[in-house]
Amino acid sequence: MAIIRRKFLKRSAATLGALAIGGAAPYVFSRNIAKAQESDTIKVGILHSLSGTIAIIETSLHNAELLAIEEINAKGGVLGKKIQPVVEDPQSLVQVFAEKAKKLLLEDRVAAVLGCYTSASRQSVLPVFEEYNGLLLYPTLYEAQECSKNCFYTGAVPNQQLDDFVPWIIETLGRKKFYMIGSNYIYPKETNREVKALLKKFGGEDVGEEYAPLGHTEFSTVINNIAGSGAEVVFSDLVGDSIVAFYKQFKQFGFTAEDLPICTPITTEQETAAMGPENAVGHYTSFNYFQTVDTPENQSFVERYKAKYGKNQVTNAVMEAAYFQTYLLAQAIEKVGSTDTDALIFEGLPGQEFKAPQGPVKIDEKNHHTHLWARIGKAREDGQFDIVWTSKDRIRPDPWVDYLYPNKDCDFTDPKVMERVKKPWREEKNRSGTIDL
Amino acid sequence: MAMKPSARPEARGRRIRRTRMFPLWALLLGALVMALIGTSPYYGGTDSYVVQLIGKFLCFAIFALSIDLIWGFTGILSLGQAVYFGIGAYFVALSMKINYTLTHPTRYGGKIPDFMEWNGLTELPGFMEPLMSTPIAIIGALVVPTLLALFFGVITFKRHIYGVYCAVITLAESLILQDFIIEYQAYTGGFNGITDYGNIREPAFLWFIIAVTVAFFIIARFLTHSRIGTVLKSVRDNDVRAQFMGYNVANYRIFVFCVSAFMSAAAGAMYAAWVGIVSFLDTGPLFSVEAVVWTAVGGRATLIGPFVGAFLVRGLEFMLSGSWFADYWQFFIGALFIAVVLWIPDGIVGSIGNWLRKRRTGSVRQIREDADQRAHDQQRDWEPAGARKPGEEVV
Repeated sequence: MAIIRRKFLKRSAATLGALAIGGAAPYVFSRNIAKAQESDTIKVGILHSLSGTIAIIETSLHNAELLAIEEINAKGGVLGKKIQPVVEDPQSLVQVFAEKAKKLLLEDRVAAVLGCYTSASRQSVLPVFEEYNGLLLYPTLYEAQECSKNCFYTGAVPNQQLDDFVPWIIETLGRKKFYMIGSNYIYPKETNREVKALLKKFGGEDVGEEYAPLGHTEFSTVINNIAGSGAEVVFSDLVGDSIVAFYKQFKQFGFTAEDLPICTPITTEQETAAMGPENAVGHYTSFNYFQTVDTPENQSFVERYKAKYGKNQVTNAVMEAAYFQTYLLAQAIEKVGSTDTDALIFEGLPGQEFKAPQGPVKIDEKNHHTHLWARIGKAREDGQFDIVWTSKDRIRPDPWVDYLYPNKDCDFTDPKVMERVKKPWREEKNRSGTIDL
Repeated sequence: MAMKPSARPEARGRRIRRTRMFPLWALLLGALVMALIGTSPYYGGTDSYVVQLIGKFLCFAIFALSIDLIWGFTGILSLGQAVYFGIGAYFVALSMKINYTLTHPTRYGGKIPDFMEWNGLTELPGFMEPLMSTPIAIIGALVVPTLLALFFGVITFKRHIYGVYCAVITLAESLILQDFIIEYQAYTGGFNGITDYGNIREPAFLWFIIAVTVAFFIIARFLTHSRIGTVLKSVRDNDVRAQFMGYNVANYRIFVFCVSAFMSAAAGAMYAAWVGIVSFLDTGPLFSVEAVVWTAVGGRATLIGPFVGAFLVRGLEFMLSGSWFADYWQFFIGALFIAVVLWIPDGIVGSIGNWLRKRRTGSVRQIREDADQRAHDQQRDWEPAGARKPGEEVV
């Protein structure tokens, strides 16, 4: 009898304990939320992978954003409050990106999130931002053809990197026969579609197009094909480790930049350092920013970045976008005087300007993308780029380029779009600013 | 009969019954607690990410349980179990995406999934049309992986490939599928995966996941505590001897491999419907290895172990990878794995079980005697391999 009673007591104690934990957890949790609301800081989420396959590049974005936040706080913060970065590590996994985004929006109640690097991660978090009406600032160059109410894109879109680059190759370098090689996913495919349209427009010729699996590092067949195609220039949209392998094998095969230059909208200082700069010498990259850009803002940015993170660090275009988008956000919050998401999206951020390291940049009033400068760099022996051409003015972003999509545009000032995207999510799920002309 | 009579037969009988009942009771309680948290208004119903995480972790736990069945109980180390999880997930995700885009035009304005559009397709390919029907997608998600497991099981186990070689083959299988998904991106979404297809978020679906979890747990329990389970364990411990005893070792391996694949596929299918994002990473070897680690941390060859492991490791990862630890969290996770391997090789649940048994029976010697006794008792449940019915043909 005693044994049974003891067993009964034990079990009921365990049950009660488990129920108590289950019941108490929500209270602890809700107190956290309450605490977040009454704090005297402005919370900003930082969502870049610090571990996993894309951690190397994303850590540099994370660092650039923290540097900007530190500088803003040192100058007195925003609206008299300090910016408090809420750092999450999504581990290079798209699912974790979405969960972390949800956590930042629902539990931390951040004013905005600075984050994501790959298109895959952006596409995985966008539904979350759209549903819970969050604000994402995305610093990477990407394939465009997207404009979400809840996202501001501060990286370059293809028209800003290609519209001048392709004619420049044809006219200044005098090379008309293009061989296109890219990694097999959305960005290179969309980019090459635009390159082909531009080739048609400016009298170039496309002599070959090939896609290698992501992370592919064996290019001898491809290089053979290039050699046999009569190409005068190689247009590369390879990404990641493939870049390093391709440039090295290209040189080993006996090609020099004088015979056959590689032109690319992707290779940055980061990759030239990784492959050994001697492999990249003389090849061209089109970007809105290089570390060698000669502006006082850039000199001080590079200096401060190296002072904080180490002398051997290099800066690159995506980092620079991560850096200035933090300032754009701070200015927007200052302008509207609150962290209200809709106010930031419709009044704060559109038209916001900042003297970025690359030169003055501005967020477009209509399409949530950013007016950026265009530059062409020639790789040097030290891994840096000599800037051989700079645009006369910053270039307007066009997520739906006219020569491919003449009847599409993105316009958040259009009353029809406004009416749609301001509706509650439960009634209207389409948050895109795309309109048919 | 050389059997030593037990000192307290009725006490032993009760003890055995109790260890049998305990895990089921714990699981039901766990499910109840999770359901309470899950539907608590403080978390904002199913909108909350915590609820989302619970559903996701449950799918992971089923996946870990499926790995425990083959690795913990049968000794087959598969590094490609994510193949079955992934195929299940892709079937459901593709079906949902195709149906979702019919009512929600993509950013290009079309009625087919966006990844098909940017790859130049203008209409849904014919072989994918059956996926528009949900029942076909669900059946496909469950049956295709099981048949694939049968196929792989036959070509490996029938040729007596196991151990490290089996791990290598399953690893290759996983890599092939990953490459396939990335290469045929017009049909699979490629590197970006499939996302934004209106995942199911009703609380009822969380209950459904919980119910399926409990059902799989019970199935696993029956399987491992039946005659088949004993054979599986003997295959794990000494497959040559099991073969000498007259068991068709390959068939047992194939059988449990298929059961495990079915569970993985079901977990993957529910995961896709609940989480709403599927990518090639869900089919990769890393994911399988992760599940092996969960099982090891929780306790291999225990049935609650995979659940504890999946929730503990994934939960810790999620908590630690935020706020102050974001830069260092991997050190803690790494330390946990090392600690488990060094000090509690039986895993958390296994070690607690050992400790309880030791406390109850006193000494290691006694545990051993007990185990012998139990094994002996169980052996009487079924006929020894040598004892065949008269007239039956001996192979």
